[in-house]
Amino acid sequence: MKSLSLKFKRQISEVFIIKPNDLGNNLLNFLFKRSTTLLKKFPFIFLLPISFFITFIIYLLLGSEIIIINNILQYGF
Amino acid sequence: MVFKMVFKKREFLNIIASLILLIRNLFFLIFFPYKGMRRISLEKDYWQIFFIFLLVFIYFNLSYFLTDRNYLPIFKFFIFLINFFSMIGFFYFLGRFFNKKIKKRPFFFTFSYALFPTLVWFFTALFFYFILPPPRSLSFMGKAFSIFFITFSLTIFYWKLILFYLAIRFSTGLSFFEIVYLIFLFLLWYIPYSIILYYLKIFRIPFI
Repeated sequence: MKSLSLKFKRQISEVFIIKPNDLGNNLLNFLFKRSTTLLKKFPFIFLLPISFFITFIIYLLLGSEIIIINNILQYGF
Repeated sequence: MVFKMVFKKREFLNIIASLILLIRNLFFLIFFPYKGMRRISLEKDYWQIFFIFLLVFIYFNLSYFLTDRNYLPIFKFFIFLINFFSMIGFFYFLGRFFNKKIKKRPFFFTFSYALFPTLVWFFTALFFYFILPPPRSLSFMGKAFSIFFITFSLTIFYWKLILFYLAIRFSTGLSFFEIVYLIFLFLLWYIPYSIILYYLKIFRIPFI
């Protein structure tokens, strides 16, 4: 019981090491919290489709020229 | 003699424990980046940073032996260390204008762990350089691989942005707008600096 309480205390102190974000406006705070909640657990669920969508838009805009971007990246290390 | 052996055994076990903690923290950064970075900011075990830096050094050696031989890996690693510590110094000293209570230690841990997406991208790029060497062709497969690789790179880039933001957030305790302002000031000197490194052919894509 004592160790459980200690664990809980440690958890709580870990959670409150920094103050919550305040963007100065209730609506902004609400939107920020909503959007960041999605990114706090396995963000790739959202990042991967967004990245694919952006790449697809680039492909629609550039067509075959997209391979130039790929070449820059592949020679980039 | 016995004391020495016990000490060595304990040291060895500590290093193994650090390695396990490192792997656990890396999993946290994939599945729970916010919680993971919060825990990392409270870390005290410097062996974990040593292992991350060792991975960086391994990468420079691999890229030297497998691709171009412009600069010695030790030189690239030295430049990386200058980049890394100047970046930490920048955020530490500017962060102190907003919050006097910030400590140095969380910076070392959070920024070291924020290198994880960078390492993933560079190791993967190195791997694909050999599996499917550039330049890409205009064939269907060439375009498909380009779409795949750009999607992958963008995903890693966004992940890096998240971890970079969280590293500053948990090291300085600053709010969102203050962090955005600091990042803007950081980019003001880091972009020209990266361009210089690009023209010197040290890093074509910044290793941060």
